[in-house]
Amino acid sequence: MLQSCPSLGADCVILDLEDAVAPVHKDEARRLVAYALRCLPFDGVEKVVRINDVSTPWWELDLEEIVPAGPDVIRLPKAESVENIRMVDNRITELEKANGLPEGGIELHILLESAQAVENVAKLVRSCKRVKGVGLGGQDLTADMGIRKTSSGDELAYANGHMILAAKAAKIDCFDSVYTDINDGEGLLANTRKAATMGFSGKSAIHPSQVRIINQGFCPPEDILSHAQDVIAAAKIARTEGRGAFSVNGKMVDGPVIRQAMNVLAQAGIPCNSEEVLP
Amino acid sequence: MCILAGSDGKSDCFVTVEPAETMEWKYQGRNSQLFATRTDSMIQETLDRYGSPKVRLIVGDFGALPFVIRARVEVALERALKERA
Repeated sequence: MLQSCPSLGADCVILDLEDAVAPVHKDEARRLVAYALRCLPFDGVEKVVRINDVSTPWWELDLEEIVPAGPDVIRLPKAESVENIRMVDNRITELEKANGLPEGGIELHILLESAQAVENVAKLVRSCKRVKGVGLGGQDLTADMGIRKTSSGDELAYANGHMILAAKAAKIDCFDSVYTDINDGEGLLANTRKAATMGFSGKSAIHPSQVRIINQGFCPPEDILSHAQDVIAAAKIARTEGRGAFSVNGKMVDGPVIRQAMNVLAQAGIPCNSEEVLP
Repeated sequence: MCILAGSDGKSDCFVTVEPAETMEWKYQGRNSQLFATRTDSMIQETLDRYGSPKVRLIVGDFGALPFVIRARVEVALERALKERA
């Protein structure tokens, strides 16, 4: 699957050293991932490696083997404290320097897997400049909260909203967790559209068949995109005429609505120059 | 003691390492004839890097890419040398 990942349409691929690997195989997995990073053509797909968390005896060995192999992102599970995140950041920096890699070139994505971590998310995402992404580890988090994880995800609504706000305030990405039913494409699409509406930057897939559906879910629906394009077109005219508010398709449009329309176009990959449209 | 790394899964290989009087290896698998020269050379280079230990190393190839074989051989040797120490 790794060999074919450039053709699957995903923006990132995650190579896992944590939960997918039994303790007796950690050394092998580390070596295989390091070689895979060096030897396989990823063709622009971001290479993300999930290391073991800092409470294990493996996290430093993971970094020592993986950083020299040039991943794009290190994903840190069970991120609990600013101190732990900075400890990982410092170690990555040391290894970047020791291996002639650009300092700060490797991003850090943190996973929140406890109630305490979610409550502290605003501090955690600002722990260091290297933190560029955040997500929830839904299974561990619901276990920590003593509740059941459901297909609707309602039980994590507050946690997701709290995390998304913190990510937006810190101007970093936030990722929705996996949809585990790989045979339910309709459910995945609905779940992904909900994630996109909430403000997630992306969503993890657990199977290659989910990639196309997730990409589809993050594209604005046709009617939304069409209205956004109408808003932008009208905004350009309104700007030249010096009007701050106007109507499009029977709906009032002002600055915030124009910015929302720009966001919709950005989601669809359509460029828009703010200087041409904002009052 | 026989040290094992890898598996007999598709696109993987297994590697066994055990003490021996000399340094020797065997590469086997469905396509071993096709890749024998390349793999022999890689195993030799890897064993040299690890100090040419006196071991009998066997690689069973199930369609593994070269880097997979290399990784498995390295880890098997490291485990064996650690066990010996």
